[in-house]
Amino acid sequence: MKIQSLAIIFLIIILPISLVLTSYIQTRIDTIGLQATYDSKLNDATYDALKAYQINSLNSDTSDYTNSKMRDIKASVNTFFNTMSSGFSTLGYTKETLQNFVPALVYTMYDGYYIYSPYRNTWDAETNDTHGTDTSYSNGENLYGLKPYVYYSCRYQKVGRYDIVINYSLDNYIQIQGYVYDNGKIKTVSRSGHLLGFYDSDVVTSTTAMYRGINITPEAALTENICYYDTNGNFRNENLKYIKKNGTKYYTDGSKVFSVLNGKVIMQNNVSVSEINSNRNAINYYIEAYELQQFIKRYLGDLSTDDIVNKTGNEYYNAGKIFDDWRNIESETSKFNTHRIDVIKNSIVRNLSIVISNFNNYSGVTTNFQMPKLTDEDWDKIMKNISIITFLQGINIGGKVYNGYSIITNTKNEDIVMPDSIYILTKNDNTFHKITEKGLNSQGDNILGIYDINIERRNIENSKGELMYYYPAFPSNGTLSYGSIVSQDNIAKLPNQTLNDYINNNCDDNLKKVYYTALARERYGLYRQKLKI
Amino acid sequence: MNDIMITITIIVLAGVLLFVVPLVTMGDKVDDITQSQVEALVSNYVDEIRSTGKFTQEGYDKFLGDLSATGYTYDVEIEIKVMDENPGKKTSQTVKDKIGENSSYSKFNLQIEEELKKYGITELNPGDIVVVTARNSSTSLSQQMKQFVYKIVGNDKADVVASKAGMVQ
Repeated sequence: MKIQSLAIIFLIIILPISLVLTSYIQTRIDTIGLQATYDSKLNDATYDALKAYQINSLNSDTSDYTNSKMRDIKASVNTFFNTMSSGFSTLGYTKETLQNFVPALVYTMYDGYYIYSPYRNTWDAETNDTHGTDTSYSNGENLYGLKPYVYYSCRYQKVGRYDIVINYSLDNYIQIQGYVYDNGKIKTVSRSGHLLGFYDSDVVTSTTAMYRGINITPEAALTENICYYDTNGNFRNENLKYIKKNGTKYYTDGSKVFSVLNGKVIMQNNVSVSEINSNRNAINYYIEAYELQQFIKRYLGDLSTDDIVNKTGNEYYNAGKIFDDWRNIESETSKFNTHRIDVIKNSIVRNLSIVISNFNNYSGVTTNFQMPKLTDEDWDKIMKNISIITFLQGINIGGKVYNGYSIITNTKNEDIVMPDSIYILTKNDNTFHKITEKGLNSQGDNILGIYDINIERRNIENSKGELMYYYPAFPSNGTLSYGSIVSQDNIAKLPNQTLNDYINNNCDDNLKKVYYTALARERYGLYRQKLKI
Repeated sequence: MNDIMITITIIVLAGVLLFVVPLVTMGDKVDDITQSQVEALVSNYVDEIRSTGKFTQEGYDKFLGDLSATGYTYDVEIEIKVMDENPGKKTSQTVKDKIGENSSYSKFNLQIEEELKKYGITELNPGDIVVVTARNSSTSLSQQMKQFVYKIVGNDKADVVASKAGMVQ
């Protein structure tokens, strides 16, 4: 056979193989590219949903209350789908089409979470008779909405000792409800507060508090900028003294006390000017925590993971007694915190898995929806602050089916005060610092602890109908420290050191006092159910 | 005669293998790189608008200039979904400008360019959504080479398409 013929045979064999391989590799590349594009669009939409929630809640005076929070979440969900449909429009997807591929949106909050997913609108016979067919909704219709709020809770039972439910949160705050046995008698209890590692030498009474050797004293009145319409309808922009109690800020001009709702003044009688002038939030916070500690020591001291009701397998780490090392209870590695994280994880995974698998009954597409496994890094993000978790599944991306999720953490919210949420304001130069910045010791009265959310921008419509911006706690010539907040290159805390350790070992008593007072004041001012039985 | 036919066939095949295939492959690679560049440009541009809340003539010109620098010409579609008031909510807790509740109306290239011509700037409010899409309108090298080898009637889709949507903060 001639060399030309061999060459042709070689080409006839190689050319189709090479074309098929090229085409296959190109398809794989396109699939990966499309997957990256979808990941990016999902992240963008989740980020926008989070920003919408952030802006809406920061500019709402009622964002602490459940109905207002649900409204903010629903608005955030709308934003998610608006951005998704805008981002996916070039790929041919509309909002309605996309809903078939989004099995759930999860809003993890401070002490529980909301899941947005479809449900079947079911009426009983009476409702059906009342409404008939003349209504916007009909019986058996599939609707999208928020499911009831689920707490991060766990039930513990020990015969003759207790039968209680503990609601956990993203920090050390817990709520205890149920029954305990006191000298053989059954007793209904409801307690709440933060679990703190007091020293044995700390003296806490019903009016005074000491925490880790630092004597906590009442604070002088705090001031902040506020824009509002007074009772005569005049627009005012003032710097007023205030106190935050149960989620509401009460302002005073020296003679009267009022709160502001949607820019309008509401006069208040249940808070006095003297309460504002001498802020006892921090003391009350430590007293509440100390009383909770005493209660737990008395009734629940040997509560352990073995007492969990309806434990089905190894979903909880066998930590033994949860409340046995009080001094280190705030540590990230304490038994309490290990168990708290287990409870939060299990609660979310259990409910979310059910919701996502049930989505098969609602979606019009033929995909088997399943909850993806979240990584440890994802869980770290979820535990750090309130977050949004979104899922997008079932879209064919050529050769495989897309199964993605996105988690974005909301670091600017008024629902939670994390240990790093307190900035230190040096009054002589009006600069905000992180507590970990070098050189903050030996400042005397020159420093004040400020909640970082209070330096975020707020808006209000002025009398001309224009949107006006202001910063509640930001002095007119204030700045953020470059060394600790902007570039973070002037930090004294070691990378492997926890914030708690840093404060204990590196801060002087004055700085500790300012920090502990500010953290306690802001936490105590948040809206929490405070039913004490 | 038979040998001549075989030789011609080999020469044609060799020509295709030596020139056309590398050119098509190279054209595809160039398109891939351009695609990444255009995606980054569109993404940066949308991020700039959403973070500043401003749509300026200067920024728009720079964006078009950066796109042209990739070597192709593009059709750029811009849509701004402007948040409108929400007249339906009238409770005491209501703020009329909650992001996500309100209806919106859209402004497209023509309206935006008119505003830019008039004022040089279009200001956006938090909650407005910006969508920018760029697709190449000139034929890329890869497309030209493919059309040289084979042509599917009606299949004139752009090879470089990038789109990004984002909410103004």
